[in-house]
Amino acid sequence: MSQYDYDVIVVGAGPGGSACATMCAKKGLNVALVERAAVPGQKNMSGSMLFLPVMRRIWPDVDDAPWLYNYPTIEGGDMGFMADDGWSFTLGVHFGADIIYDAPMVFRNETDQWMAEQAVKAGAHLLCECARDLIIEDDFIKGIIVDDGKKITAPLVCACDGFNSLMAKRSGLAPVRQDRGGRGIGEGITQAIKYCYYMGEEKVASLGTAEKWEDGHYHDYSSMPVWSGIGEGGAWTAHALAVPARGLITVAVYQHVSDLCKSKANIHQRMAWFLSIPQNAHRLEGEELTYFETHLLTWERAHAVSDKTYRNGFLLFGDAAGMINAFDGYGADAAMVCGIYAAELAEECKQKNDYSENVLSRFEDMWKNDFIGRNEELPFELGRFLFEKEPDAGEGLRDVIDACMRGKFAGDAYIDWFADPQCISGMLRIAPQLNRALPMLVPMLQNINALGTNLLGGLING
Amino acid sequence: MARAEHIKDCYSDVNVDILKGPQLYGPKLREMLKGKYEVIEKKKYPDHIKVNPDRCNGCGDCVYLCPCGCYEMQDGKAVWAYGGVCFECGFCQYVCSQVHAIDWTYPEAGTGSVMKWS
Repeated sequence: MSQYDYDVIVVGAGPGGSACATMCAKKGLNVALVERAAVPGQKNMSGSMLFLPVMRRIWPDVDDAPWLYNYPTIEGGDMGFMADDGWSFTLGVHFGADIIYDAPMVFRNETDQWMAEQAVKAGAHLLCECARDLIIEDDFIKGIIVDDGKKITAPLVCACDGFNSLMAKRSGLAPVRQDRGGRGIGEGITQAIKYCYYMGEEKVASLGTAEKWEDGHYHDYSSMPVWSGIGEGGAWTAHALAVPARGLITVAVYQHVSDLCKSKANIHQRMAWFLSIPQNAHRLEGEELTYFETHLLTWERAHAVSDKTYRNGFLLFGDAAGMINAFDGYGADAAMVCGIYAAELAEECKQKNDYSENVLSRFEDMWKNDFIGRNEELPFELGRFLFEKEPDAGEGLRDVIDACMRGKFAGDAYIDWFADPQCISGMLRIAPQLNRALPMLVPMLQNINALGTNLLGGLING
Repeated sequence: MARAEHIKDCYSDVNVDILKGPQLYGPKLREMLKGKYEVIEKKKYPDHIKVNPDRCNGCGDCVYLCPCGCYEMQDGKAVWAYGGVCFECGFCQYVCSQVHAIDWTYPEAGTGSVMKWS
């Protein structure tokens, strides 16, 4: 009879937590998945792409999941830049038809529930508890303390409890942002706000951004038309997402917390402005806001990851460790990969009966050698390309695209669906970074045709 | 120049002023968001966020910037007065310029904000 309640406690039933709990359960470990929401996913405020290549490593039958209904296409895309007064230009890019099947648009409260269900099916125990503190004995973490001071014990705690991680703080491994350590207020943190409008399937489909294919899935031609700008209120990014299968339009705006502090403008004001832009206003005319959501993320901050992600009896990963891709704002795939590694180490620890840093320190090498570690360096690369090569702007942009393809998308997570080096998504996703270089971008775009690529650069007024 | 005039016409409805200064916060925001999200009543930890009045310098940033309008000024200090509508986004703990002025944690499990699903 073990002195512990469980072999492993996983805190947070997000993609990382459910991945970790599923893998632990599959290895025959006695695992608790601790989630503070009554239903996993209920607290989740985000929704966007998930990456099936990573998910198949954990849940081989993910392709049959009921939440797979909306796919972006890479047939074409727009990257727009907008001034405060609404003046905009769009870079339309067309690489020819090639459909991304492996990165569906999802609502995370649906998917997170499914992922946790898979963990339970594999044998994990799902507990509805809010993990508030850690049990620390002789520098070893031996469990968690939940509401009412109740203790749940295990020789290994895997914490992936999200951006506002309590476990990260208690363990002393919190990413820099949580101690502020002499940095500016809100620096490196982005606030996302999303307005959702329920219009019904027919009306959303009639907007012409998505069409239903014979396979029964919607294919969305403008899932992520990314708009960016920098002006009075600071730098911002926005995109709209149409989900006909759910009858919803979601408009998302992202802005740096430091900029919001400077302008004293609530993020709802930025959204009100964005909605008043004629392109948006006419689509949403007469529609009533159905619900709104807001969350924080790390964006445009490289090396936001905690200095250390392990302790005796403890692993930290996902948003809790700052593992959000500073390049594009995605983090779910990184969290899931870390969940797989954490489960591998959990098994090894049990076999050796050693839960100390001797074994767990390998965690860092594991994720750093995966695409997560490589992503970390990309924003720097991007900056170097953009700024150091500025005199030859056209060359710079081509290098940026090259870097996207070779660096970021060569990782395991992406290799399947980004195998095509001409993938448009790379272009779409660098928009937030490129907006910083807006004044330089116009000459760059003018040079695009001269590059001999098949980019269709278009300067469109209004 | 002609193009600039044309653009001005096209976008005359775009309100640029809204990007500066506190305009949509507190009671106005709470009214606007009424019924747009769901919060399950918090029983054990209704005050999961607290402002330490000794450390608050009364700058009002949390009042202006909280996306749910949870804060209000009382006697020159910020108070987390409308916790019932809190989204638990964590924003306030990062906008506060004073160290440890906002004591932030989550409500008890199974309560607080939940996604409203149509």
